[in-house]
Amino acid sequence: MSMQYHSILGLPRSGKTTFLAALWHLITAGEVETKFVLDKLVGDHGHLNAIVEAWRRCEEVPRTSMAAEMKVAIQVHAPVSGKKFVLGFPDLSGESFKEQFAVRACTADYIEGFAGTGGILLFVNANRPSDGMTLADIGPAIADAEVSDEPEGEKEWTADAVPEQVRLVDLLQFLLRPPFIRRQRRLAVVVSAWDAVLEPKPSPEQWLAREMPFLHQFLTNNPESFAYCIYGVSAQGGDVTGEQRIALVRQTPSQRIQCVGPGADPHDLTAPLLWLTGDD
Amino acid sequence: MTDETSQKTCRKADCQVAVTGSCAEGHTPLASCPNYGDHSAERSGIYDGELEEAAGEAPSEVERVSLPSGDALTPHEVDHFLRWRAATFVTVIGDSESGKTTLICALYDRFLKGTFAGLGFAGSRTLVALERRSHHARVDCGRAVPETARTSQLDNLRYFHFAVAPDGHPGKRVDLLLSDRSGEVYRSARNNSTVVATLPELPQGDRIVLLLDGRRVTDPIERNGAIQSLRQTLRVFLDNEALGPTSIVQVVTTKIDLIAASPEKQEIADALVTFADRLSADFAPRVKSLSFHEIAARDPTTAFAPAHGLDTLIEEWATPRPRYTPPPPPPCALYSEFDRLLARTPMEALP
Repeated sequence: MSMQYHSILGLPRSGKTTFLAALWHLITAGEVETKFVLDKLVGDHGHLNAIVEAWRRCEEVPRTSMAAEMKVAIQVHAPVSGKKFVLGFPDLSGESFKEQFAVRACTADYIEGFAGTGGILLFVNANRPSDGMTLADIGPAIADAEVSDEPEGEKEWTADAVPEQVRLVDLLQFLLRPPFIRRQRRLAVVVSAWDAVLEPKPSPEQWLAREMPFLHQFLTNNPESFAYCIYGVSAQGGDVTGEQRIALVRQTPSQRIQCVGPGADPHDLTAPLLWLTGDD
Repeated sequence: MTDETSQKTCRKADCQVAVTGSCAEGHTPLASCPNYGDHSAERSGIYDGELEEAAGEAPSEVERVSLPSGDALTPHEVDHFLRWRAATFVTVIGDSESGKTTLICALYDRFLKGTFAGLGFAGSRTLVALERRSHHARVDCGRAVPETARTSQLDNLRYFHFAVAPDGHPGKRVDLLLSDRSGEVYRSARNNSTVVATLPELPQGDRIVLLLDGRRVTDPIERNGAIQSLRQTLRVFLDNEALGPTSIVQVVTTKIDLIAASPEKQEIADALVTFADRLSADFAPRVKSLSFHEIAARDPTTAFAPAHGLDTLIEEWATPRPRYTPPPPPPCALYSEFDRLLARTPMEALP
């Protein structure tokens, strides 16, 4: 049995913990066919059981706070190849990544997490506000409005003002220089809240190229550092904060999960993980 | 002095901005100074507006490992960079407010939106610096009119880094290092040629970009001054051997949107043609190439697309420059018997 420790990256509200909760339900419930199935229920699964409760009730999964960060491990096997794996993940708070970009520092534990041969799950949320707009972008829209040259309520620069795609590129760039070990890593981009992408839905790769072109260019132009694959995932299956919740809660839980991307079955969240293990 | 200013301070002990409202380093607007702001959170070791979260959640005893700053590179950091990989140096020269930083920010903004000039973004070691400089052109900055933070005279030479690769050819990556230095320094070099020797970015530059301020060109009173400043700048660099027969010089007229909108645009165009002809006649023989370009990095009227004209420039910068080949040495004269013996000896017979 090989141990694969994968890292998870993503800013706050990018869907990291919801993904883990849905994954835990998926491989423990056995409601749909998946590329990985639970091999043994051993170890401490308190954190996974806690977050999956909210997911099963179609509630927003509580965000991981920096104080509640922990590592989880799941023993699985791949029915097709018969191989067994222990999949390890850190459930890190999005605030940790936000802080890493802002203060330009990280923990030794975080560096250690990238020392092995595991890959990276990078989360972005499809249902996010646009950022990084320039005044030139909105120029035509405000062309007729009366504006003053005098700045009113001018704001100082803070790291919070940096567009998400720039922060993600910088978080990935950190991995290319010491103290991190430089090598090619498998990276699965998980576009969460895929249900929120308007029809006709593009492919996940087309979505990334359209909505986060800076990140997409960076991944495309660094093949020696990142072999990447992009998935669209709806771990909740829809908007659990609105009227849709009633319909969702009546479905078989695993069947409200959606996953699109290379080699993915419609409800199988394990496709990105299988790709990360290199057993695809 | 506004109430806002009085609540803010500068990290530098000698700056009296809290009292006078003026930045000691000359940054305008004030918010563009990296040392200016409300540092109360910083003094307590907590970043930005994360006081609440940090107080409740952050583990205080965890040891932190420093990561690269993302700031503009110092010449020392550039030396370190060059031990890793080769780079193309683009030396951007121009008077104050001629558009040096705006040019760099416009390039960055284009890559944020997608590939540009057939090139894709492959990385940057200076993302934080690029973000800081771009802030005053963003909607989030709270301004109604875009602004670019000026490079202060007290800021020394710095470089912005862009790694780019032709679409579909990531292996043909090119690393560009664009210089950033205050326009006042170049003005000093014009006034006193001894300053030229202190500008390492000139002999180091694979491309020398001389900016002609389009705003000054549109003003009949300023026009001749702007043109002659550029001419004198090129001359002082050549006469003091900072530039020479291997230099690739690009004269770039900025803010051509203002020229295009001017009622005197034909007169201006004629003046620029005359200027280019004279400059070519006088200086083209002394450099490897002298070319002329026009850009509108950020036209507020949107008549010109953002970064208009920068596509041909960056395409040229990203084209590998042929290596300098020194002329062959003169043939060696053989005088002694030993020389002649060596000349008769078959090379394969030598150990």
